[in-house]
Amino acid sequence: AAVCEKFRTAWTLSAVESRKDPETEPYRSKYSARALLQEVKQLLSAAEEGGEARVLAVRRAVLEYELGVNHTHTEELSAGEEHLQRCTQLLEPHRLSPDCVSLYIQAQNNLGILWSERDEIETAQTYLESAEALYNQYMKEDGNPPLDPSEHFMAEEEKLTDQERSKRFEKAYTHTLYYLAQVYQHLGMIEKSAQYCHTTLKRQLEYCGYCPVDWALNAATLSQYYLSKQCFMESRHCLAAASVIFSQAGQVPSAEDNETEQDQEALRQKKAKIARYWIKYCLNLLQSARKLLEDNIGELDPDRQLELKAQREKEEDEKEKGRKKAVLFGTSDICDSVLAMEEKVSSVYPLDFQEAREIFLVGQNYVQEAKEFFQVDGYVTDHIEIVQDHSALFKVLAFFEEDYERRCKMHKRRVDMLEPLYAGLNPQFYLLISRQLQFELADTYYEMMDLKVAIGNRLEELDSHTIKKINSLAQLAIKYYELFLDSLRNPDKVFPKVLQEDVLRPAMVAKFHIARLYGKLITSDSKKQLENMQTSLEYYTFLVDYCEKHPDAVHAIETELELSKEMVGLLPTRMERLRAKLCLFI
Amino acid sequence: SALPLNSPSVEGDAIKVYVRVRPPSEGTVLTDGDQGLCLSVLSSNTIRLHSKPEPKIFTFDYVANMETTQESVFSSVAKNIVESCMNGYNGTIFAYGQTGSGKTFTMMGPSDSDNFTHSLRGVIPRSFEYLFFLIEREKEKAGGGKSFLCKCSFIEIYNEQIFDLLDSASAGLFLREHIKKGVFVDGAVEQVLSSAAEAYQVLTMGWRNRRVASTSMNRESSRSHAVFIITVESMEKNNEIVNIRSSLLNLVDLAGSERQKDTHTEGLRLKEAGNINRSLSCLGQVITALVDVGNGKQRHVCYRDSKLTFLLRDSLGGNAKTCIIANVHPGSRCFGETLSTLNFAQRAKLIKNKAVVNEDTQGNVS
Repeated sequence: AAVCEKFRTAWTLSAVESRKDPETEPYRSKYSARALLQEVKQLLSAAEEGGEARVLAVRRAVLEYELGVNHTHTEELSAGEEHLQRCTQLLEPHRLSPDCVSLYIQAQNNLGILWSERDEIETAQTYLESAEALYNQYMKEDGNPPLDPSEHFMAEEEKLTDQERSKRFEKAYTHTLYYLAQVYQHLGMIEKSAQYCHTTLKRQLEYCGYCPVDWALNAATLSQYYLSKQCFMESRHCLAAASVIFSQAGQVPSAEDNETEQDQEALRQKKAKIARYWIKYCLNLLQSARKLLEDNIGELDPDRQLELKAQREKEEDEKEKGRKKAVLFGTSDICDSVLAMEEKVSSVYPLDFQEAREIFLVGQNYVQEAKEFFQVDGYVTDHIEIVQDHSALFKVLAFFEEDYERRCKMHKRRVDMLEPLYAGLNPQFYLLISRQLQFELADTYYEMMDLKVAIGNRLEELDSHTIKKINSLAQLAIKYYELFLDSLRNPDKVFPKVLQEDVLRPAMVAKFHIARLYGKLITSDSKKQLENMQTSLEYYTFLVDYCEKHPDAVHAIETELELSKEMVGLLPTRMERLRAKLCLFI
Repeated sequence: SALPLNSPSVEGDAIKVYVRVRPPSEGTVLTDGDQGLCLSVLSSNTIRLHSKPEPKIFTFDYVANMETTQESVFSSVAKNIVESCMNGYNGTIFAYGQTGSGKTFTMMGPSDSDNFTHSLRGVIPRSFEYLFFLIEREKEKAGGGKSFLCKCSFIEIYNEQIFDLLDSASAGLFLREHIKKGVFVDGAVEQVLSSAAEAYQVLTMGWRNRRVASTSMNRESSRSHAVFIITVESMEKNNEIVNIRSSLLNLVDLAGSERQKDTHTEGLRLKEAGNINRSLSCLGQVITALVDVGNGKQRHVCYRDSKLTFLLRDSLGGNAKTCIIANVHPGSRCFGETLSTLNFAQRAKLIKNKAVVNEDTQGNVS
């Protein structure tokens, strides 16, 4: 009885009291717990003669386990390892029996952690995988709720119910899976790791061992893994489950009812984060559909569209089967809500404007939701990233739009949301975002100019209004490309001789586009035209010269380089001809 | 086997990495020659770690051996950063390393003296002196046409919470962003400084409020990151045109690296399931790492899980001059931690901001 009492005090000390330890002595309670455990150990060996040998051995194993955990928590790894090893040795013969299996698994979990702290991840892996195997073997051969390690020092009447036992056992196993997920991640086995993360989440839900808000964020993050694998159905499932669990968490007032304003704020932030994950989902689905549908100049390919629509009808039946294969979250009551949530947005590629628009609208709603929290005042980076996504949503929707005028208006919307943000931004602190915005704005104006040219080409003759429009759009595009290129200059305003890898392609594309834009400017003044051609030639020449000096840059801009070379060959002749014409008139 | 050799550093905004080897503490008697040591400095930028079976050679921007003086560390590491701060650049100096490797000595000086005239004073006091020396010189040169305003704050990040070291009564503070001013600590006290002496005073006062802990392994180890932030604003009047420039100088003393289980510096360790009530809440970090590995562009991954990296975001591969002083203890008992410090320093040289210019116009050549 004294033994049990001491053990319990030690346990309380290390689990409960230690959390209240002063910051100056973070391990005070752990150290006193350790001392108590040592005493218990001595009492036990004194009692060696009496009692059943097996009960004693198991009790000793529990002590070794607790001592091992205690030492590892206080940064004394080698001592911790010795204790844990002794624990598993004591248990080895009985590891499949209901009174030992849980302890054995937990000891192996801790050995896994211990070895990972020594950066020996493969050793950790063997311990954890054997814990996993032991769980499976036990569940197959026995399956009864096993004893919890703490029960070995409990009086008969205090022993746990089967339900509680099973809960604790399952939790220990969930931890095994969670550690394995990390081991696989560290070993670069990404797919396997994702699978273990998914299973861990699923088990948390089943055994109610989770904090709903954290769970929701984790599930939402996992959706982004599936996005990168183009698994839209799985991605949507994670997001829908995240939203459902999160909204349930919001409804139930927390146990400690005095929620502070800070907690509320944190909750709103998490909701906005989940909205951001949804935005990426919609954007990705649209962009992937675009990739499938575009022809070699980036326009919608109608033949491909018909082909894909026919293919989709054929696959409609098989869709149901695929659904069942995916790992699903939730017990039946949650399942229905998740399904309802999923129905609000498609998980198959949109093939025409109508379908694309539906996804766009869902995405746009989440943009509004995310912006409510991430306002520019206080959350500059997040806010701008969300607006950039909004712009990207418009951009990809425009791809599906057949009417050029309407398409142009969509791009105008992008300009309207990006330009004021750019104007307010201080590049000293936000250099990268600032560059992204410069480039995006330049690109949007460039695209609008192209559209206006296309519209103009349908007319019999270009009217002065259209010409003015084309020229002003081209000038704006040039302005932003130049701003971007200027941002690469050093404090003495010198353009770098060698471009860093991360800006190489954007810088080259900017130069190339400026060259083309000068070629597109419309003017009736031949002298002006000659000047524009000269500028254009200079930019093309930059590209060609740079790649000659730095051959490793070629791979980044092959197409552009080829065209530039062609232009560098052609332009001087054209200019010569124009000059000759000019001379005639003088 | 391949040695992890670095190419010499490229001029530019890449993070500079300095390694400083402290002398073993007095009382540890070194038996013959190098036997008690786990490393040797080969040249002013290479270091050899006596690992088995083969030694490893690391190359950094600068390696300071045990004899290197405080003054020489300051001139090779910090001088340049303070100068560019005067020219409107943001600058950051970090000290990284295991507890007992000499971070505080390098940054502050001998621990028992508040006296900053001490010949062993560290990088921070010397930076103050140099900064105000430069300011005075500028003022003289401009003959009254230029004025300066220096402000400082001193904060501590402990357990992912921010505390104001200049106002010990303050509760946790928040990081916010301003479209013109960048990241700032909302509500932190900002003290105006007019001389190096005033700066020392503020530093000394704040330093006493730091959180320190002792375990049976370490007599005393700092559990928090301390960040001393100086804002330098200059105003120059040329006829009617007013030219305003401002820049930030961050001086950072990181918590002992062996305690940083929660940041990305940790190498291979597994994250534990944590306490009973909120187990597995950090599963998200594992998943985040998974998503991070993919190569598509349009995913949302929240990197902002650490307050420190968010506060110093501009210093890590952004628009700033940054250097890291990796402190190591040469004793063979410190081999493990020294190796992981050197590995961290090696990685730091490769730090680049993840954000790149979005550029997907490849198709639009027509």
